[in-house]
This record gives sequence, C-alpha cells and structure tokens, in this order.
Amino acid sequence: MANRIRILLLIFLLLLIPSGCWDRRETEQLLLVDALVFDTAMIDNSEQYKVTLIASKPSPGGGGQMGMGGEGGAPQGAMQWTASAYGQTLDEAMLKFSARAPRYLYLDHSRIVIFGEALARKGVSEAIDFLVRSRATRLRNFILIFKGNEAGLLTAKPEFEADLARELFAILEASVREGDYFHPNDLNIVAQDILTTGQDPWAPVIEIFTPAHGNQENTGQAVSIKGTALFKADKLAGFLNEEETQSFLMLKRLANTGIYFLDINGEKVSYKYEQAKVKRKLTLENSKVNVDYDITLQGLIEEVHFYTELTEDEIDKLEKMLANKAQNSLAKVIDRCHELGSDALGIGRFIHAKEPKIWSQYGKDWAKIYPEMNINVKVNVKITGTALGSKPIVPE
Amino acid sequence: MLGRLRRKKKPGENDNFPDNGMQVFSKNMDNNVKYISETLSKCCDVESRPIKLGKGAKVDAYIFFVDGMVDADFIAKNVLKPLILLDFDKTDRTKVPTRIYNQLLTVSTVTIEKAPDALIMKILSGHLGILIENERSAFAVAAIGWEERAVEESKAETVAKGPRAGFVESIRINRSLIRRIIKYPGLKIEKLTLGRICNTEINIVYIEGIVMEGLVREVKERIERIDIDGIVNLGMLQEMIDDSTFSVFSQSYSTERPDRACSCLLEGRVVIAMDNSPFVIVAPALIPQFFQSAEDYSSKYVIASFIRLLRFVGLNITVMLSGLYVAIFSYHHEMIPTELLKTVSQAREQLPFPIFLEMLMLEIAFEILREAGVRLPRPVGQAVSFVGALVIGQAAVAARLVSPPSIIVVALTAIASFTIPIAEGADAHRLLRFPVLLAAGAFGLPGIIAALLMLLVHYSGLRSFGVPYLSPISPFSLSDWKDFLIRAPSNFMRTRPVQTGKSNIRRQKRCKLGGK
Repeated sequence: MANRIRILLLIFLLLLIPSGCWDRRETEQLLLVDALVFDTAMIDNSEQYKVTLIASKPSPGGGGQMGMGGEGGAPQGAMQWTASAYGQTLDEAMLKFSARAPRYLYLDHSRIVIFGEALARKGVSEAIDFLVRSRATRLRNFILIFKGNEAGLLTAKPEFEADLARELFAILEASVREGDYFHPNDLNIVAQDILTTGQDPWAPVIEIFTPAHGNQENTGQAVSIKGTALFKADKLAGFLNEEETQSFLMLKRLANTGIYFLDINGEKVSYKYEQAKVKRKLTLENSKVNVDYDITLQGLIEEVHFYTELTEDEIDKLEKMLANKAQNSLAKVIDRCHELGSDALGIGRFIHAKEPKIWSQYGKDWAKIYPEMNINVKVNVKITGTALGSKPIVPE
Repeated sequence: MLGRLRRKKKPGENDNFPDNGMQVFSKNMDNNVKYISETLSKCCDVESRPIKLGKGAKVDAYIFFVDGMVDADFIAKNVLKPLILLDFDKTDRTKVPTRIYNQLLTVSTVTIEKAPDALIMKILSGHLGILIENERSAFAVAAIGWEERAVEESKAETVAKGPRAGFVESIRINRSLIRRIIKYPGLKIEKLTLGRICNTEINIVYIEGIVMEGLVREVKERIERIDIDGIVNLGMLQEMIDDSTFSVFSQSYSTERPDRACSCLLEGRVVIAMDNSPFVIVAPALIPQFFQSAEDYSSKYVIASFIRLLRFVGLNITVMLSGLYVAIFSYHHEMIPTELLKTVSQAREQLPFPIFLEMLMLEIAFEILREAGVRLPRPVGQAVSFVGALVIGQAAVAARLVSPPSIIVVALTAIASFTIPIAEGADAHRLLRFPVLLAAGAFGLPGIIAALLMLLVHYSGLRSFGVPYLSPISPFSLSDWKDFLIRAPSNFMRTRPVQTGKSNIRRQKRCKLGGK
C-alpha cells in the first residue's frame, strides 16, 4: 500500500511535466475565424482562388476590469479582422494567412461560408469538398452567395452586432423561426444536394446596400439578405427575387407564413397566411409524369385600404382572387426554375422516392427531362378572419 | 533491525504500574497508604489525609482524592460527615466496612476495590478513595465534580431548524444525551478503556436487535487491537479503525449531533464515543451519508430533495469544474459555444500564464486563504478573508495577472465544496480537484476521464466495516435510494438501509397517515 502511494505521488509529479506537450493551445493563441469568403480573382493572368477571412480580433487591452478606466462597452470596429489571400488552391491561399497573423487559424467556430458570384458561377464543388474534408469546419456553417463585387463586402459595416459575421449569423438564425422572405441553408445540405441527382442546391443571397437614413455614425454600407440563388449541379444558375423566394420556400415547405396583396381598382388588400399546407402528388399521363402541387393557405386579412366591412360574399370573392394571385406567382417560380434548369425544388428526388421504376429511366438524363416536366399548382385560400374585432376605423 | 529494536520491551512500558507493584491490599493500612502515596508522589493535585471514623475515633482510615476532580462539598456532606460523626460503638469491629457500605455512605455509586492499582485508577478518574485499617479492601466513592462545558449548540453542524444540542467533552453527558433520545433497554453502551497511559474511556453504543450483525464484535476487536500510550483526538481513533487507512476518504464519520447519532443507531450502525471528545464516530459510513444533513429531515421532502441534488451538483463542481475549465479552454475549444469562447479569450488576452498554471496558482491560493481563515481567531479570520478575496482577487485581475473567468471558476469550486455537509466528505473531495486539475492540464478531457475512472475504481474498492462504500450505487439497492440523492417523504421510509439494517429491516408499518 505504501508503495502504491509512492507511485501515485510520482504520477502526480510527472503529470506536471507533460502539461502542454499534447495539442494544447491557449485561447489567446487562436485566430477565431467567424466567416470564410471564397471567390476567384485574376492574378498574373491566371485565375486564382481568393480566400477572405472575417475573424474576431481582440480589442487592445480588452478584458480585465470592465468599467474601470473607461474600458467598458464594445469598441467600435476593433473586433473584426478581415484579410484576403490568393492561391492556386484553397489550401495554398489559407496557408498564406499564417505569414500575416501571429495566431493559429481556427476554423472550428466559423459559422458562415460566403461564395462570391464569380466562383459560384464557375462551380462550388471544389470549395465545398475542401470544407467537408477539413476536420475543423462544421457542417452547420450557413452558406451564402454574395451578389456583386466582393470588395464591397469587406468594407460593409454591421448595423447591430460587433462584427459582420455575427450580424449575418444573427439574421440567419432569427429567420429559422420567422422565415418568409429567406431561409438559411447550411454546408451539410448543400454538399448533399450537389451529390444528389434530382435535387440542386440553393442558398440565400446577400447584397450590399447603403442605408437610407442620415445617421452620421453609420455612413458605410450595410449588408442584407435579398433573394435566393439557384444552382444547376454545383454551378450558380440564377437568382430569385424576394417575392419569388417566398413562393419558392413555400413550395419547399420551409416557410409557413407570408403575405400576398391584391390590387382592386387601385386600393390594396393585404393577406397574411399563417399556415400553408403543401401537398405534392405524382400523376401518370401517357407514360409521362406530372407533378401536382395542392396548396391550402389559411390566414387573415391584415390590411385593407378601402373602408368597408367585409361581407361573406366579398370574402369569398377575395379568397378566389388571392388563390389566383398565389397560383400565378407560384407558377412563375416554377417557370423560372425550369428556365434556369435548376431542380432546387427537388422534383427529381421526389420522383425517385415515389416511383423508383420511372426514375431509373429518368435519372440518367434528368437535366434534359426536367425543363420539360409538367408541374401544376392549385391553390386554395381560406380567410379565417379579418383580424378585426369591431368595425373598421373610418374617418367621419 | 528497526523491527527488532521496536520489539524490545522497556520495563514497565506495557503496564501502568511497576512490575513489583502490590497486587492486593495488605492487612496493614500503613503499608497500603505508603504504597499509594509513593505511586502518586510528586502529584501536587493528589490530596490525602488520615481520618478517624466514629464518634469515639476508634477506627483509623485514610482518604485520597484529586483536587479539582471531586466535588468537595459533596464529599464533606455525604462521606466525611456521616463517617466521622456517626456512632460505631455498638457495631462489631469486623462489621464496620459493611455498615459503612450499607448505611453510612449516602452516595449512589460506591465500589469496593481489592487491588491498590485499581483504586489508584479510580482516584485518578475523580473518585474518593477510602482506606480503612485492618481491611484488605478499599472504597472508591464516585464524587466526580469537575468543571464542565455546558451542553450548547453544535458548532460544526448547525441547522436552522431542529434540535440544537451538541455533544460535549464529557462522555457521561454524551451518552446521556443519546439515552435521552432512545429510551429503550436494548440501547447498549459498552465500555472499553484505551491507551496505556491515558486510560481513555470509550463507549460503544448500539441498539440490540437492530445493529448490523457482527458489527459490534468487529468494532470491539478493532479498538482492542490498538496498543498505544494514549489517544487524545477522536480523529486518531477514527483513522486507526478505518478499513483502508491510506485512502483519502474517511470510512467512518464523526458527528457532533446527538439526533444524528441516534438516527444512525436506528439504521443499524454503531456509535463510538470517546471521553474528552465532543464528537462521536459513526460506523459504517457510506457515500449517501456525506450528502445528508440533519436539516434534511426538518424541512419538507421536496425542499430537502432539491437541496440534496444541489449538493450532488456541488460535489461534481468541486471535483471537476476547475479541471474541465482547464481541459476545455486549453484543448477542446470546439466544445465551447462561440460567444463564450470569444468572451473568455478576450479576457485572457495578453495574460502572462497559461490557463493551467493560472488555475493551479489560484486553487492553491484559495487553500492558503481558507486555512489561514480557519485557524485565526474569528475577527482576524474575517479580515484575512477580506484581504484574500477582495484585495488579492481584485488586484490580480486589475494587474492583469489572472483572468476574471478563472477567478469565477475557483470561487465557484471553493464555495461548492462547502455544500457537502460532512467535513470528512467535503475535505476529501476538495483535495481531489488537484489530481483532476493535473490530469486535465496534461491530457485534457481524456485525462479527466482517466482520473475519474481511477476515482471510481478506488471508491468501488473501499469498504467501511465490511460494507461496500459505494452502496447503494454498487451493489445496487433501489430501496436505499429513498434517502440518497433525494429524500423521500417520511412515510415512505419504511425500511432501514439494506446493508446495515439487514437484521431488522422493517422500520415502519404501512398504514393510513394524515387526514386521508
């Protein structure tokens, strides 16, 4: 027993020595990358990858006693470090950062991956492959497509959060609950979609804009999410605007709420659906497959620009008009998908699941068959209320 | 070589008295007095005087007592007065001792001693020794009357609700405190004497018919096996009767509260009381006991259960938190939520020490402060705590020597350890955070897991008086969980703990209770 105690003491003493021999890294040695931006650029007449990091930078003299010596509060702009590097491969570009930053490039906490439009049009599969291969990056990274010149992105200022990456992440995360005009998509799903025939990837689009208000502090440009990018295989095919995105997300059953408005003789009525039941069906017709969407919307009239109490007849009329409107905009999105040749709606995947035999014929040249597919939409609108407990407010 | 030296017995080492001592009283009183006086020579507290018994001063006698241990008034009134003033005239000379014993000594406890050495022992423990001429025996009159601390509120185990009395230094009062709660003839209190020189009284208290089978014999054997000059501190006795002395965990626990001791007796355990100790030992002690506080049984079961769970969380924080903090923040950054990592790394920017060293220093600093605060007199102790907590903590952060999150972790770890109500459990587990911290600093989470596995193996191997220490976790017994991580309502506590109460498991009959 006494021997065992001696051995135990020896172990304790020895434990002091290997401390840090393994892959210990102090937090202050890490460069916490929040977002990765991938794009292409012409360098020395050859097209190279351009990798941009948006990383957290410790503010000088940060931490310590908050509130003592007037250090409290988040220092403006000091929290973000943005840098770009070029390389023939992504790996080479990433390696170049180590010459600039005295820290270990730490990708584990990156939450957003942004692809520039130029790279997205060329194809993102190499970059996605690089990210999935890397042990560090998480599959939960949100994917965004940046429309326009990426240089603008790096000078854009966050409007709420301390840094840009955090702001984008917060916007995307909030939309997981709210989501109507956009919906986040992550690395995992995009990678899967690239691998799946009959399902093309898609991702939200971000754009730079200049805030309209005259706030003097905020003179720079800001970022917002505008629409959706559709891919054909791994290549960017085209964009959907916000209105189209709403319909697109409804067809994908990712968004349950949204608004439609009607224009009746110049007066407007706005309808907000709070429930969208989307049913998909396959029908066979002369050995051709059709896809039928049967959609039921339920919601309220939220805004009326003419001063009447809505009678039941009028509500019936409104329901029909709204159904018509919704049907048109959904059909427009489907047409747009056909036009771009992008099966982001996953029609192929649906046929594969429901009719594997037919898919075995279709699968091989799905890219050719898809634009010819017949996709029908039928919408049924229910107005459950006028969101009004009393008579409308009418000026005397 | 050492062993041989140790085995060599010095004369008189193993006995209280010289080998050539007097075995029995001689017929001649002077010889007896001379022997006792010589044995107790140079003891200024021993007082003696000759007296003449009876009105006619016919019979010579001699008394011995220790000043300060006997009640002088009591002796004067109940012993000396009747002996000196009463009339022996009509009594036959040979019947004098019988008359004294039967009629004259108006004292409840009187023993007749045949051997001078036994009488000396009695005198030294607060008896009055009376030698009478021409007698081969002597009286030892219990006249104990020394100053004693009154029964007062327990200091180590305070409760807001429930009985306040705590044990005191006198074993007589302590056993009476137990007897006052358990008025049952089956409550047995056996007496042992321990220590060649100190002759400390030890009481083994148990309830016949409830106590775990063979436990009393085992306890007695273990105590009797001890051969030592004297035990002054209960902790020494506790260590000497524990199954695994080398373990950091104590396999018995000490309590200052009679109510707690009694509830343990009712669970089939044994209580060992020692003279001069305001604590008693309870054995066997198992893991659940270290989470139980006397307060639990005074408050409602829901609250008690919540607090029990809280203590369990506190235990885990004590053992693991500082280790986890070091492991995660120096090896496994991917496990931390992004915002938390940013906050902490911001706070740790440009600090001079690695996180492991920082934690080690802070933990040691805390132990130093705690030790200093405990040993110092209370007002000074408070000042030390202030200096330690505020000045050092605050200044270290302001001087950018340590990071605020580390201070929070150390403080939380330290405070959490005080949620464990039994000192033995709290101290052992507080010490364990150092090996866990070392393992975390060297190997990260795998190191912590290895350390915890070693701890588990050690726990599983421990036994307290033959009972597995981890019971009721392993060996598993569901019925004992009613008083482990939670406390079931009192009317569900129908059985004694399986391990200790085997011989008489039923405690309560199922019946309609309350207003139903």
